[in-house]
Amino acid sequence: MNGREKLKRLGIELPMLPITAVGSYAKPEELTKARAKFVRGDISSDELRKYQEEATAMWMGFQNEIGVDVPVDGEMYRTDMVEYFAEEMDGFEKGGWVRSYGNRYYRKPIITSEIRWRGPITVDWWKFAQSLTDKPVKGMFTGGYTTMDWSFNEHYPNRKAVALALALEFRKEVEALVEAGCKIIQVDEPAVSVRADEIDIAIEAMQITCEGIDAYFITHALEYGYPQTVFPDVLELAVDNFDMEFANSDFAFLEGLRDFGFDKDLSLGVVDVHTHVIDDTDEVEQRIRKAIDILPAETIWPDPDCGLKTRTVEESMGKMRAIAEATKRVRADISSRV
Amino acid sequence: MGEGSSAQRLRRAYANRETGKIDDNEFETIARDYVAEVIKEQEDAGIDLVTDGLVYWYDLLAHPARRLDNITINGLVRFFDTNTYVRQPEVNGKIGGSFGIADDFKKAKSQTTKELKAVIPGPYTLARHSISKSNGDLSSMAMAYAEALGRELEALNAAGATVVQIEEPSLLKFPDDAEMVRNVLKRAVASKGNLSISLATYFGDASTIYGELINMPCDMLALDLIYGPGLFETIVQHGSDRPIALGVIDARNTKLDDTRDVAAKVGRIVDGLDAKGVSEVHLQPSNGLEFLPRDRAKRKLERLAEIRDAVAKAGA
Repeated sequence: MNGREKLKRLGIELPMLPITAVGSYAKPEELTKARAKFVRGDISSDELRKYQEEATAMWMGFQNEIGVDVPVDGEMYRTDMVEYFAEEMDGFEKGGWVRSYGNRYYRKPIITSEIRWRGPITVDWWKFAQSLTDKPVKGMFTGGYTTMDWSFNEHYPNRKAVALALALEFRKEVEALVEAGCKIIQVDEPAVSVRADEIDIAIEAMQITCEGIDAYFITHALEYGYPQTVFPDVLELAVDNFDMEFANSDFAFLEGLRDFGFDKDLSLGVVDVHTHVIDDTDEVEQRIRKAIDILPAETIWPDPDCGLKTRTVEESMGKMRAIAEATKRVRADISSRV
Repeated sequence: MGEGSSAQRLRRAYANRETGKIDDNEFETIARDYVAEVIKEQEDAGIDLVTDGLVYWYDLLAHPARRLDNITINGLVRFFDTNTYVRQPEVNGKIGGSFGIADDFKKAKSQTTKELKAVIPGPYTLARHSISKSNGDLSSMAMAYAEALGRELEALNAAGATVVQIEEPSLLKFPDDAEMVRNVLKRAVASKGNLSISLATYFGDASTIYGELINMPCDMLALDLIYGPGLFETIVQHGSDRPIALGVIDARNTKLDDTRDVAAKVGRIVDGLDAKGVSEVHLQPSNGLEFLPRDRAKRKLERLAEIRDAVAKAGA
């Protein structure tokens, strides 16, 4: 069953070239300040939550306004894509700062005991976001392999044991999301493309987390590396849609993807998220056209290369507007040809 | 970089310089203070051969490459299998000029009485991460970087450096290119003078190309024994005709390495090399410590000194 058929069976009809976002948007200044106050103990978690809800509502409104077909909650409540989940589960200790790139740092958690899911982590936020739109909101969390790779391990005997233990716990999050009504779930696994020798671990972890659960699964798995090193094995990941970065790497791997017999849906990164420059709409349009020259248009979901949390609010909005406008132009062109 | 008020001060300084809130002189003062702090931290931990912590390095490749002529800095790419990303150098013409590492070295040298090691990415690894926009293939790009490195080594020599670590992790990923690496390094070190060159590889198992490594034009090999635990036996079996720096501390994980276990393994290598007439063995982390939080990195350095002392005690 292809992606569209599966979505239809789940009761979701999407337009040609459905627009989505990877997950995060820039946090508004008021929220950043509120978070700093919360860390200092100046405001309570309930007060912080109000700022987070306001920011989430703002991004939901923005996505409704520009026509995002599969919106995201924007991750206003998260610190970092691994640190946040580590804080919400047993088995982790807070780690110190390590560099992500340039002058950007993140806290890398330390696994010091058995990992346990304490209860739903993202479900309340998904429900809140879904209450603000008629569009299907994506559920999102970081998968077992990446959480393993981006944490230090002082407890389990090896990397595989960590990844599989996490995968089993994250299955509970998937089940909780589905029970809440979520039908499109993204498992973020950006680390899977870096160690070809461990691709079997990543595949097994994804199976443990997703297999047999009735939802449409996306994985944000291939970015800023050398994706060809894990192809074609990576296609065995138990998902319906691969989200990949293309704008940053000048679409270098697009033809390679076709040559590997790629037959899933593709969330296509068409704006570079690591530059302050707002991508030119004409250029974004050309990027989408380039993709549909190579892969079937009905399988393409335009989105940014990655989360937009490192941009300003204005930059995030500008980049999303460029995607929305470019997509509408290409859609109009396709429908005029039918 | 990481924990502590001085680290935060430096991170803010980087951001403020980027947005023009402070000028280069103000940034320099802050960075210099931080270099002094990381050098003292190494001295206090008992490290004999210290580095400037690469504090001036905004990026592991783009920092030195951006100072060269006809290089611009492009998009992000993951640095091996880490969760750290580097910006790719884009080669737009004939590579000229200097990496500027000798300038960093001079600034740090006045801040320590210990021997100071300079660190620099190797020409092959730089070429492997570069985008060619001037029709140059991998080999010609690597050779052009090697010529720039040669000029840098001369500058480092003039600046009073004694040991330079050239880092070639890409060699372990593409071992078939060993001959290319040998040729470009030969060009780079041709006029090194009295400098002692340590060739470092990491993020891969060097045991599969150990025979190639011991024929590289360098004075010392620095090897990652964490990624390739079988390398201990390879070194014991094959020996070496030159000193070896053993990367025995896991610089990718916070868990502290077991002193007794590591010291026993090191002791075997020391005895094996000694029998072959090599008496100089160095101990170091498996790779740069920037992949660990600062407090954990410090503990790792202290553990390294403990292992050294344990090996010495066992051999006494």
